[in-house]
Amino acid sequence: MSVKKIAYLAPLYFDEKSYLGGGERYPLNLAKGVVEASDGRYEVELISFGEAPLRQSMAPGVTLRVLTAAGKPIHPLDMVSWELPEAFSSANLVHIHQAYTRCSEAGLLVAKQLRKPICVTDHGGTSSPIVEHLGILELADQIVAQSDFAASFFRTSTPIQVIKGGVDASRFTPSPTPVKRDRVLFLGRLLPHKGIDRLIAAMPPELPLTVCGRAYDAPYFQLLQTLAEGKTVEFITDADDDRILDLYRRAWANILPSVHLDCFGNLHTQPELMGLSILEAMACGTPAISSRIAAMPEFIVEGETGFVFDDADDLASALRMLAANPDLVEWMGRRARRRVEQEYDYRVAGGRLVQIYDRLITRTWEVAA
Amino acid sequence: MKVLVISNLYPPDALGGYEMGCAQVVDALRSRGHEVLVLTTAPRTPVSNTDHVLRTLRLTDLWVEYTHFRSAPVTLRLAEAESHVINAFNVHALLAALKDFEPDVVYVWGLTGIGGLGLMGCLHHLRIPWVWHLMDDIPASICKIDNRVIPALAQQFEEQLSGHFLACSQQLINEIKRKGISLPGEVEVLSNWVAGPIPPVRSTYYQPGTKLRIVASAAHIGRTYDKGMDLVVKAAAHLRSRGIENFAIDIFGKIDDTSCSDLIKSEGVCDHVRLRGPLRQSELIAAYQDYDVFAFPARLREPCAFAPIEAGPSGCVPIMGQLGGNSEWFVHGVHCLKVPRTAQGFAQAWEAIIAGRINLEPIGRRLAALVRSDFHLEQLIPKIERKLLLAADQPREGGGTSAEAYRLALLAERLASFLIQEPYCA
Repeated sequence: MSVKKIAYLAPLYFDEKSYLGGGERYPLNLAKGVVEASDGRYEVELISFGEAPLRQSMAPGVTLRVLTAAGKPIHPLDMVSWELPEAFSSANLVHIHQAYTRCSEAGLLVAKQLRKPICVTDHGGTSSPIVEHLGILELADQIVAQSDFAASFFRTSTPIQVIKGGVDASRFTPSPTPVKRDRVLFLGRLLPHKGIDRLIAAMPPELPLTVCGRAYDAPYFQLLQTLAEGKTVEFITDADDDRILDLYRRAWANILPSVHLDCFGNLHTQPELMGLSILEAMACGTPAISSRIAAMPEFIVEGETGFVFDDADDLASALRMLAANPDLVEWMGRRARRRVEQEYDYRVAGGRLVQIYDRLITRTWEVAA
Repeated sequence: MKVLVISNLYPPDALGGYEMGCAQVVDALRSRGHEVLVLTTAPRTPVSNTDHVLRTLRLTDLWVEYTHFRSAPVTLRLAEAESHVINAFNVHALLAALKDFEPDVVYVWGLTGIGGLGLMGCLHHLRIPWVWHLMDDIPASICKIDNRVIPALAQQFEEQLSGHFLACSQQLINEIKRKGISLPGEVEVLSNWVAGPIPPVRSTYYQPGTKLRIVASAAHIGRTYDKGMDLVVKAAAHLRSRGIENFAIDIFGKIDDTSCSDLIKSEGVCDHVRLRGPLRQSELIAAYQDYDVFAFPARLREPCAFAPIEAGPSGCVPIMGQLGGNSEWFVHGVHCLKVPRTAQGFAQAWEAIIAGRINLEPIGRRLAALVRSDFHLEQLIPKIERKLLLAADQPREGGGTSAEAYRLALLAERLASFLIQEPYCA
């Protein structure tokens, strides 16, 4: 059995040295999913950028290769490297993560010149308009979107397939022993478009809230701390994966209150293309609650795996209900877990991706022959 | 055979031998019944239209020295990228020519000034067969950014641009390799030539005691192009300093600046060295009959100049540096004289001839015979034709579309532009 090699190109990678966000964790999860779902028929090299070259194993069949960045771009998503052609040379297929960046532009250019089949997935981090202005996505063979909402933004004749999910359901699991749920949880980067300010404002004073995530925006973090005064709000900005797992398991619900218009008046057209943290929470058997915008409602079955709120009152009443009904939390959590196992586990998504990769690689071989 | 020729310049708009040679080959191919279309740039000054020449490319003219002194660094770097690496406008023009003309093969010549790497990338993407006639280190030049060959580009050149090459000397191939690119594919060395009518072999050769008639020529005489004319002038001064006055030097070529005339004055050799201005190529070939030796002090990396070969048919003996590309084709003391590339080296050779220690006649006769049999374009054109036919037979399956090629060119152009400008924006 010959092992096929997929190159995942991403401007940043999920590590303290680079960036810790869903858009970075997601490609890593998909890579694992592809390898596991294909029973080793595929290997994935996650290609990203840094000041010095690096190659390390991330999981069986998944390696991280950091290329030496050419220069220091103004925008962190605009990473490129002269080593890119060599890095792609042995790949059977190139999957580009983040569609509208200089990194993706260079990736598309190089991969196409090397006659590699190309998949593109966007994660909402736009730093360059060229791909859109020049219709460069036409050069790709397949767009893979992580939600219907994400798919709706592509303006291209290139085929689009929606593959939802990509959470590690064997890592994020319900607690094997009973735990006391005692808080509301927000987990994600502390950024204005996440709407955490709205969550804090809506929190019933009697309920404790844990806000966990890296504070990538200092003024916003300051604002959140001010808003939290007089309420039971705990901020955790340095949690590792074990701590995160524990927090998910101890929560009545995990909230993703993202907004289009943030508290500073900035508009976000794509606040969440999926919302990985709500899937992680569901995988842990914890109900998910989200605002009724962007992709999140696609992943929550209202009243069954969680709730979708329209305003602060909705949110507050849902939180009070869950905090007061442990059985409801457990019932919803079990259903959420089952849904993740069936639909959103990275092995499920990986299996669907493998079908795409198989088709594209076979087609390329047929053309070459 | 339908041949699409790509050349950055094309006569009458030309810099030197590369473009003139291109035109000679085009004429020769056409006279042998091939359908040839030349794709070149809009001329720098108006020229009359010719049916088989399509002047729709845009030239990024970096040969004007003034530009270098009067442009901001970022502007120069952008121009350099457009000249060497990618010019999407020119890719579009190439695609249009390919669509309309449907060539069997593309015959590539000078590519600097027109975004050469992008044009080759386009041909590669479409799987259009090509032959690249090299008379300069163009593959290395078009992989340069900020005046240095980018190893990653050189590597991709080697891996992807495998095809058919004709190079005018092994020295040129070696030079390109030294700069980071081993030419991939079928590489053949083919000398430069003399074309058209050639003068009869002279009946009389230099006799000691008479005035030694020395000729030198270059397309351009000036600071920008180092053709070594300063060595010729200084060699004249050497001879005078040794009390030898029995010689005359004529230098032909377009005078770009006063550097050469200033040197002639400062060296005190106005009575011996004359700047004669430019002549048409055919006139120059005829004029060589009136000279005994051809002084060829070209730069060390001269790949293989036409002028020494053109001097050959009339028995005008080239005196050349030992290391230039031309020296591969002629044997010292048999067809030419090779000297150290110094003013003293040239002066000593001239002195030896004037003193009768070197007899030019047998050298001139052998040279004239050799150039007639091996270096006339009529003798070489069948080889070029075979190369083109061989390339044209190459399978084209698996090529991409024109739309893709153009999008890639646009993308590459924008990327290059932003990457060059970004450090200046920060």
